[in-house]
Amino acid sequence: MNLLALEPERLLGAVRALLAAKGIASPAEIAERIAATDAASPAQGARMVAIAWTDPEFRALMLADGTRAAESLAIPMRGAPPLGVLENTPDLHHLVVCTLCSCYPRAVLGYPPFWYKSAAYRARAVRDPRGLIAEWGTTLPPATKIRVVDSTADYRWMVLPLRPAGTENWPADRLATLVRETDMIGVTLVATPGDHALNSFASPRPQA
Amino acid sequence: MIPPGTTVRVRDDWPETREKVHIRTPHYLRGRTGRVLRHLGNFPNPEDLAFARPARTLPLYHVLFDQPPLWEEGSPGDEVLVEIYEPWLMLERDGIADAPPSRSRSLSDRVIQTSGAGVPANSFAVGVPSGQVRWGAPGFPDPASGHHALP
Repeated sequence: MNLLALEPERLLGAVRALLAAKGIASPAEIAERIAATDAASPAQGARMVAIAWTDPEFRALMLADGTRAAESLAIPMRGAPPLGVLENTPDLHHLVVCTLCSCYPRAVLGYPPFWYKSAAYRARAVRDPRGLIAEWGTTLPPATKIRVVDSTADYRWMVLPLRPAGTENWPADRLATLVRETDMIGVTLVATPGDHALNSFASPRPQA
Repeated sequence: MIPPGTTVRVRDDWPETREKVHIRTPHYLRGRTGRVLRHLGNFPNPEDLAFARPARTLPLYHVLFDQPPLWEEGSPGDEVLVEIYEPWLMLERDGIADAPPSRSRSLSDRVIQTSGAGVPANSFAVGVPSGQVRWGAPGFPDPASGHHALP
């Protein structure tokens, strides 16, 4: 006998009524959290990246305090762990992993892609980061060092990728269309416009 | 507070071999030397929160490690950056200078080969050799007792 399987709606109703009756969470608060979870997607992170590329003041805020930067764009961050933003430069590339479980900046990137939680990704990201990103078609110049960020505790991390060449006069909303979740995890680089065929894992599925 | 730039060593301690635990310090860093990049803030200890115990608020640091020595492979210059709670970190005056080389055991002693594919086990791995001695200054406080290594 499994109450959850037999009468899930009744059970959920009872739990909600108890949460409200005990003053733990009101129906409005639950609705707000559901809406925030539904709204979270890589598009939120992409919007932050694109604005950071075009607005130096926002960029500085985002690097200093990712949570406040997200909130300034009306992205709900209440209850989420602090957001840290890792700035890629020509000399330094960041790759995010959670070797212990699946810590992921869900508030700004949504649900993690399935491979992010795989044992293979988690093990290889720290052990063979260059080999791993090569399977995504990503090759870094030899002088660029990789910093693997193992998300183990109370922060959540996203990458601020390098802005691709050939986008000098683009507005932020157009730039945002270039940025994929894989770019903000660090397994790929934001592709130069027109070059997507060379690095086209827009749907996150690495080569075998 | 440990200032940025300080050399630290992660305790070579394996509480998961002694009791039921929830640990946020990856096994591959136990006993390894790194450098504090910055203090990230103070947070209730997740090792207690996981068991609904009263949790002390602990400083959390971003600690930077050279990547190639961790696995004896990789590209020189690459790094691993990890959040580590203060009780897991030892300072030089706690015995880093006198400590044996961190690479005292082979990797295969440290992890369980879960699938034969070289995938390290997760943080609950118990592949720790018996008779292991925690290095460090004599009488160094045991993290299990809750004593702080640092002022």
